[in-house]
Amino acid sequence: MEESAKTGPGRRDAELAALIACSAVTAGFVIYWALQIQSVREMLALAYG
Amino acid sequence: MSTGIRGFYPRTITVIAVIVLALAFALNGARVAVWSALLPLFEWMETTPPGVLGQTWGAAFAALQAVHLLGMALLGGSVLVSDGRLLNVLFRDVPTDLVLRACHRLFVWSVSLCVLTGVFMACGVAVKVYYLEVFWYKMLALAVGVAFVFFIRRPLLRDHPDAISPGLRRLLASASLMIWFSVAATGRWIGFSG
Amino acid sequence: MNQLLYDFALWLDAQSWSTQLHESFYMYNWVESTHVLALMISLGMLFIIDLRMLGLTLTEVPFATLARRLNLPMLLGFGVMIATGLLLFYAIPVRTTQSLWFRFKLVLLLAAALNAWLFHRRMLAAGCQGGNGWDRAAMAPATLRRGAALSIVFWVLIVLCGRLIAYDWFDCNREPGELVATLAGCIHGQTHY
Repeated sequence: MEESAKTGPGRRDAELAALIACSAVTAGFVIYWALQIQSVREMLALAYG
Repeated sequence: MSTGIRGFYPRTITVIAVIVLALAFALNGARVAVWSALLPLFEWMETTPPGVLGQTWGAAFAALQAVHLLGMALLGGSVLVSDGRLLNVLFRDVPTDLVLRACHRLFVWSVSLCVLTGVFMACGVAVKVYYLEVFWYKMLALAVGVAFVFFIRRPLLRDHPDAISPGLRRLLASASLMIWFSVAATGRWIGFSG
Repeated sequence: MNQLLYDFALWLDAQSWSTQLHESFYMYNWVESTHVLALMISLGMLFIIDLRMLGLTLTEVPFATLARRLNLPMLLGFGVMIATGLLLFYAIPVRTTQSLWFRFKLVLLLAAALNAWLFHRRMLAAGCQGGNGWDRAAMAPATLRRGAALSIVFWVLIVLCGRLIAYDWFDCNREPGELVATLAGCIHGQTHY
């Protein structure tokens, strides 16, 4: 697996894998923190109206 | 000669498979079943010597937390410098591979230190953290982070990182910053919960 | 002196913002989290500079280049730490003023600042202007290496003391021994803790 990253198709593979992984991480990050912020806002609204 | 798509794109296929499996795991009952099955492990962790030490000797626990924080500082330094280089905001005149190589070594040391002290700390409060949702998010973020570094980032950037498109470099750096920020922030929140 | 500090802490404690910050679960914890997370920027950069001095990382990068580039993020991180640190002190002034660990931490911070100042002077005196001399060597001269090692030791102790502030073993309301009470500045007959 490590070797393949040095050559043509291996490099394309590593780049595509990175693109997909980064997109998934970014999407997961945005969803998680958006949900956290939303739940804090709801809690504060409940406490202070 | 391999002509099938699996022969050319093993890493990409693995990434897609992991994402699909993770989503399936998160969305069906398996998640709760695995979580329930893990309770004895966490109960056992509290009975181990580090667990007993953590519960009975506050000073040792505090010292361990301090070492964990120092590991985190070093981890932060290595991540910020390497991602800063990828984003072209730090060390623009220093070769990328030189910065990334040094930072990777620091990263391996610091993450090992954090995991080691983290396991010891978790032993002391194992059952408490078992019931904390944020603890599991931290473990998830940490697992994703380690897999991301060793399976995605390092193989791609180890040789000729300058040959990679600036867009992908920026994407790699921002994903890495997001992951390690999440690991640290959820970790800090464990202390406030429960 | 201790009476003066105690009176000042009482005055801060009487302010409504101090109470509000202390009693706000989210606000207080966010400030504390920011204080701790800023450590990843400030100490992260500082450790890399110190390790470079000791010849343990980024040895191919000239020292002047490294220090120049990492100074700004490091100082930004320290700025955030100082601002949030002051807010944390403001939220719980009396207990913090009389915390043995907080007092140790302040002394260590002064020592670290003095060490950093001396380090900077020695660095300039040693001709670290970039481009030549030891600037490109893997390891800095011995005096600077000692400064870097001291800096790491000071910051390890500062983080440890910072962490220990959370523990109440030596708090004045627990009536500690005479030595601890003196060092912590406990006031005889005090009613606020």
